[in-house]
Amino acid sequence: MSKIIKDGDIVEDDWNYIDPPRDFHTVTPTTVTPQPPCTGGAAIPAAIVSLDHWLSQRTQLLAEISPVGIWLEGHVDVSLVVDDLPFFDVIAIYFPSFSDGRGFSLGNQLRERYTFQGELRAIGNLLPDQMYYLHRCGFNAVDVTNPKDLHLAREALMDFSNNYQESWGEDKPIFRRR
Amino acid sequence: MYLYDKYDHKLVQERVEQFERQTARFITGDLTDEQFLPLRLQNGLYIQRHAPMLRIAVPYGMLRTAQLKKMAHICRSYDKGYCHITTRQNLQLNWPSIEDVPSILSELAHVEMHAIQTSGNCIRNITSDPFAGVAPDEIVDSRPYCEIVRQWSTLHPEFAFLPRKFKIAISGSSTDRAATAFHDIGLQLIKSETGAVGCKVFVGGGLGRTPIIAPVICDFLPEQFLLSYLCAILRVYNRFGRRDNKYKARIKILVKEMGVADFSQAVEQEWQDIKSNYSLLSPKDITQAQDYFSTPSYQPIDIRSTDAQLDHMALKHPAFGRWLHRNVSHHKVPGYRSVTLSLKPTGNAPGDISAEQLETVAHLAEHFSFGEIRTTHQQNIVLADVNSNDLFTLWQHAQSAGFATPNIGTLTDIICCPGGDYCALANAKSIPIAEKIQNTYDDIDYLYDLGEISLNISGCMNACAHHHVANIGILGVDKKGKEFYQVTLGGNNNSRGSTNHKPAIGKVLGKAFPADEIPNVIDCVLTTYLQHRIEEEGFLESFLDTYERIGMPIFKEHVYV
Ligand code: SF4
Repeated sequence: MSKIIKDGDIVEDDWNYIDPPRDFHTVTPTTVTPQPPCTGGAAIPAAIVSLDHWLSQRTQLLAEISPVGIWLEGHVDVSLVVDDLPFFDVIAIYFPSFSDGRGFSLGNQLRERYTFQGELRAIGNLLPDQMYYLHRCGFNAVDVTNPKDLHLAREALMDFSNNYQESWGEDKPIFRRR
Repeated sequence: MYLYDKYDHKLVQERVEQFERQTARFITGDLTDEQFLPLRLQNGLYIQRHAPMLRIAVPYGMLRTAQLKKMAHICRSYDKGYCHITTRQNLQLNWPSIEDVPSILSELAHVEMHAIQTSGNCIRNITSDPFAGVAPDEIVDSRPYCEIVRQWSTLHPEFAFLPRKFKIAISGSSTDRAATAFHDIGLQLIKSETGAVGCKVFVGGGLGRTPIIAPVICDFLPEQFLLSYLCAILRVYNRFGRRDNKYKARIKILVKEMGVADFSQAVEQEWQDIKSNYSLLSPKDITQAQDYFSTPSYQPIDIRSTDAQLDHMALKHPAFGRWLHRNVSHHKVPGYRSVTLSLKPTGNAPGDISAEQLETVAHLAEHFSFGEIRTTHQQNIVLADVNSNDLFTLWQHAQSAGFATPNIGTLTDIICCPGGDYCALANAKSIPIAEKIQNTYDDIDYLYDLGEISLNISGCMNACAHHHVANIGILGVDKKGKEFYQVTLGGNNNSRGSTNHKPAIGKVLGKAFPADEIPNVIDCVLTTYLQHRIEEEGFLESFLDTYERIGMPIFKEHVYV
């Protein structure tokens, strides 16, 4: 099992992925394939599924997987899953490249506008240097690209001790704190 | 002007430390070029043609003497003894070494300066009117709003990896001296009939490959919603702006492709969703920001005798008279004036300023303008608050320091990008062209006869010198590996007080010319203008007036005979 950063600590990742992003680094050890229906097999533990999967096999997935999570791309239209949000323990947002900042906005939207309370996880191609911003956009978990960056990434959560803007976890902008 | 408190100091200091660590990782190879790129850009560090370039932020163009002195020191210790003022009011060092950058940033932090977000695909330094707070035609002082937006956009966690760079300009006068229509977001501060302050919001203007005059997406945004509305615009852009093609990634393309109505609708919807969660800017918050820009202790001045004295000195010293006419502008406080120090004497690369000159400006500002300095989009320097009684003495000092060339707003007040001499992206050199033109037109009487005219030179399509919006624009192009120049006419960014003209993008005159033909071409264009210029009600037409009246074909005919 790989390690991720969650709530500021380095922890074992106990989630599996079903149909993960194509170039996703943790694919090999933890991917599971859903059982064909009606096999009566054991329920699949904690799995994060793709949006396509979710939309096409929602009922089956709900029956077989618990708890369940979903991974989304940064540009996805949240209205597609807005009613399903309460089912998800985890929403993972995939960053195809560290320079693609769409996921930052999506994270904020999920937290602010859709008041998503579960684990919000950043996955994909990220730099440890982005940890601080990710955290402030509502991500409480990050799967860093390179395991050797884990400690660096955790330290980067403390790059700054105060901010100008209000953001997730910090409800007052600077002009109200001065 | 704005002074740091403990929060700002801490933040800038932590940023310096963060970048120190990042640079160290890059030097040891733990960060690849590709990974280091966005990190260094967001700290102002470019890799240029000959050396790295460090762009230092000058928030909305405001500086004070200690900062200039520090810059002088940095120019001497880490660079070749000079720096450059950019068209976005920032300062640029052209020859620092990468290893020195963390130390430079640390020195800057001591005088409340930094290079945060001066480059990269993020919200850049906010630009504004260099006469904010002192212009007689001011409706609302833009500086407090600039500072509010500066803080909001600095290290904004959501908008550090946008599809492309993002520029915001704010102006608050009836004459738009901040070129708001040519920015990603332009905010024009206005007052409603009831006296409430708000802004007219322009989105999706810009130059570069696809020059576009920004459409208005909101006619009056009440000031309390400023930040939530900016957030909504940026969020729509961040989510939907194109990332597949660098040349189509600016917000102007998104606005164009979605259509203004749909884009505005998307912003409106996002805004409705977030605005109740967002802190409003209360009257108290605005007052707090206004208090940062306290009114200097102006002296009471007997205007009548001062003006008479100025008239007298102007007659006695015609050079002083010319300077008064061109480089000195009116002030909202009677008896005070704003003085523009020209960084465009013949033979000087436009916008370059040496360490000695920085110190001289600091000294002049200390003595004549409450210790404050402003940089301008035209790459000059403004001393905003000068007592009229001091003008003659100031002029003498400015003259001996080489700042008194009375050419503000004239042909030789050229805006010029660093071009092929420095910039890795250039198609052609731009500074030598500017020098050639300055050398050809150093006859002050002829310059004055030409009147208000703007000439800008960019070394490539990125248009850093905003050639599209100059009355005469010159653009470096590459023709089979040779440097050529395309000329445009009729552009206007509405930033020089010509309020009777609308912002306009210049039209291409015709096929491009090699460098040595440019002086001839410019001469031909100017002669055509002088031949066709008419006088109406005692006023001579400006170049733009004549151009708009007679149109491009006549100029074409004269140039391509
Ligand atoms: S216009 Fe082109 S050549 Fe000039 S500074 Fe900008 S990128 Fe460089």
